[in-house]
Amino acid sequence: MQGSSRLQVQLNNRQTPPQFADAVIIGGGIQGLSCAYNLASEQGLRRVVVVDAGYWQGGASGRNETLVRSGFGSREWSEFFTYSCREWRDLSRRLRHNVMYSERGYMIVASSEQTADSVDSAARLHRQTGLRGQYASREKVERLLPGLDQSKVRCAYFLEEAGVAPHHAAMHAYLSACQDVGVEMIWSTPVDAIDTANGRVTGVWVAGALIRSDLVLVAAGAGSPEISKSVAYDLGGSVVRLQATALEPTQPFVHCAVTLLDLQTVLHQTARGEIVGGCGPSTDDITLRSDFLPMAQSMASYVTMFPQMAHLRILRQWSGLVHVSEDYAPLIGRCPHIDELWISAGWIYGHTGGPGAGRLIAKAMVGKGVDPLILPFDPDRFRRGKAIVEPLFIVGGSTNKVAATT
Amino acid sequence: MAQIVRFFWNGKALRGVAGDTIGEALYRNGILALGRSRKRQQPLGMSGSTSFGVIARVDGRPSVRIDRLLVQPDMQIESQDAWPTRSFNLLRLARHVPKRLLRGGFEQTMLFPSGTARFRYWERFLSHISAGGARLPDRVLAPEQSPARVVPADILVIGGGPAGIAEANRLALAGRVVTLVTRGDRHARSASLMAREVAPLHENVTSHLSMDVFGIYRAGRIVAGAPCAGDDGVTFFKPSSIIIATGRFSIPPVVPGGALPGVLAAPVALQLACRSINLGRVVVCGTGSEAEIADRLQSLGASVVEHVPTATVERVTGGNRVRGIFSSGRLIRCETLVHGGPWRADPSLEFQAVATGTIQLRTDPDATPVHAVGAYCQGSERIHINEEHLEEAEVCACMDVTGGELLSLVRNGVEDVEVLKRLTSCGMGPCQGNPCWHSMAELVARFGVSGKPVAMPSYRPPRGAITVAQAAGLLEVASAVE
Repeated sequence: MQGSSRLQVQLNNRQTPPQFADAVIIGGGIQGLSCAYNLASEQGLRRVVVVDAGYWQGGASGRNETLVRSGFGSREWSEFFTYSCREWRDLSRRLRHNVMYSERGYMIVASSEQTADSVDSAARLHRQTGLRGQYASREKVERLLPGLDQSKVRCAYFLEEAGVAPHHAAMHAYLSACQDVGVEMIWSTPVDAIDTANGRVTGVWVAGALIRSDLVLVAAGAGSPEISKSVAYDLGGSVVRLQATALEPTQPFVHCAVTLLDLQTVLHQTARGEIVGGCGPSTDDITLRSDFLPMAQSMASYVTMFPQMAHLRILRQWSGLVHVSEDYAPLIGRCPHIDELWISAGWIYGHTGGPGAGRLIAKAMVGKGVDPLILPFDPDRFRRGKAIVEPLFIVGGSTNKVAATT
Repeated sequence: MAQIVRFFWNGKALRGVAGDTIGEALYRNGILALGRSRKRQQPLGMSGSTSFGVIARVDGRPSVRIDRLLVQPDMQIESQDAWPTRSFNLLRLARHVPKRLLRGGFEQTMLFPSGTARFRYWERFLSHISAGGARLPDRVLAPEQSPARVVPADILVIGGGPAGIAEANRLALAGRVVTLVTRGDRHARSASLMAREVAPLHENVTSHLSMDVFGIYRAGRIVAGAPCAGDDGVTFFKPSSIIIATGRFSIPPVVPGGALPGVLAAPVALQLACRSINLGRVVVCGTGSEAEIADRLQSLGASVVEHVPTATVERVTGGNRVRGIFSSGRLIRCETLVHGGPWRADPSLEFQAVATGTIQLRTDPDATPVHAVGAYCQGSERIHINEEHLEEAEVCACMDVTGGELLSLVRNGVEDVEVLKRLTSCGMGPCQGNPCWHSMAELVARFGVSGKPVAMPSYRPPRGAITVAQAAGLLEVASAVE
């Protein structure tokens, strides 16, 4: 449906920053908007301001592969992301705008003994934590993925509480919902610095002017490390480039989201019929340019497992930048040395985690306590020797090398 | 005497002439509506502008570009505009939905919110209708990988028109090693359609015909070309310098009915006329070259009834194909509208060579500028936008984005083309923004209030130029180009 004209005003580039706010969110991606929405609705803050350096959906929240996934190989990841998946399920009703979350399930395909073993241990963990996942029979795989070459499948594991949510719908819903509860959003306006005094946050410098606020969240995606530097806080990790492709539309033949563990590839088919999938991360060129090599790798994976796809044409390839932490898990919590400065960074599964993280961090920001689900993701965990080992995740093309070898 | 080729269209036997592309052979039989737009299922045909009108299933292979493939005896060609079957086609229902209801993310309607049972049915239905009728083949008909190759090139000229040939010849005479790549099946194809004399290509220039240069990677160090038709692998060039001579193409009129089958870009119309295909009564519109195009079409045997400036065209009428146009308030009955202008260069390749950025891809001020010659450099002609008829005017024919939809956003201050693209899906179809982003940007420039210069959204290759198998074949040469 056509957006209201009020909504459109929120997307223009003529907003002037206010002089003060109850909370300032740096970054208008899914993390920022989700937190802003929850602060303004559930937590009742009156003046919530979101500032973004780029355009709406310009960052990774508008460039990801739109997968929503619950089960991983570690307890911390699985518990938090299952919570967020359940948020997704009810999100259209909560936001009163359609996020189009399609809970069609997620097939994890292992082709070797080694990856099958890692699926086995994840399955054991999921049983202990009450997560709904099960090995898929050949018939079920045939039904959901009729084009998959099953001779190359050693085991297939199906997560029920998972699927896809198109980012254009999800981001549109968050934008509209934020508008409904009075969140102010300022686009194409970079943040110059975070203002602090006596170890407390006091505001955010935007376009040469100060927005005074004693509550600030850094949720700037690939820009988070740079912004944190302005308060001398090193988030660690690195910025990586992820690449994805979309194939021309066809009638549905990939009926759930898929991870090919051995080939380090993820894919699904959108409601528009396009096969969208991920290419590998790289650090060689940290720009939004795309390179042919990751495209070649993921297309080779496609034809290995789905030979009929050989004929399909590639419509487009694009890149997105994300900040990954030292252990590839998100950094959610307070900045250790500045009061009331909060962090939501290091996201690779940010699309999946956005609804859950935004709700829990909003609650924590207003002093209602840090939820046990996000406690393990405290940004300061590395100094305390509490890095999280996640053996089963895939970053649009690469398993966590660090964790996989431990 | 031309050799007759029998082929099948949706099971019905038809006759074409040897040397026809499939699109030409169908046109010869009066079959113009070949594809459908995504949302409203409006008929689209071979136009020289959008690619939805030129894809069909050929011998079991989906989404083949039928304007590039020659018709062969007993070829089975099927339209992809029906689902679930041709006799029971639910897609047609979408034609009766009012345009306003299909604006923006029509998928996101709160009539079917996710988390409800009705959403599941709606989504399933949506995935069938919005995908069109393309189905995967039952078995694998092509190699799983088409290996790429790397060919040496010192200077690479992209475009085989008069300017590309002249520049290639000049450099060859100066002793340089020159390679020329063109999409045409012969040199100076468009110029020869207009009966213009063009010097032959110097014998020292290596030339690649029927090759579509789709991508420039690694800041201009690698240029990738794919065969216009067929399964052969990609060709990688590693030139020391690139010369763009891709000329300009004509933007279809931004009016209601501007994407109807029978609205043809001048080169397509000339090619059809050259092959003695009946175009019916023809009106030519243009931005200065309309009289010349009309004369040439006439000399090729077409029946041109009138030529008018593009700015006077207000509306194209017809249900499944052109039946007439309104020009300056007057109805001119015709079966074909040929447009020769406004002319625009396709900046995609140049953009890929020089774009950089972390928040948005922009032309890098420090990048070595790409050298260009010929009509490509002549600048962008203004696209005439008739405000009175803008509401229902086609901007993006594939995704059914109208002028009215864009205008309502622009008037409310949404002037960022990237945001407009995301709100409307303008340019998200198989053409990937060419030509519709030109019209969208013109609309912003005309009606936006900020007065800021309007850039194009980021160009994202390969825009349908290669298949999964051809992309997989790039792995073979990855180490050779490091």
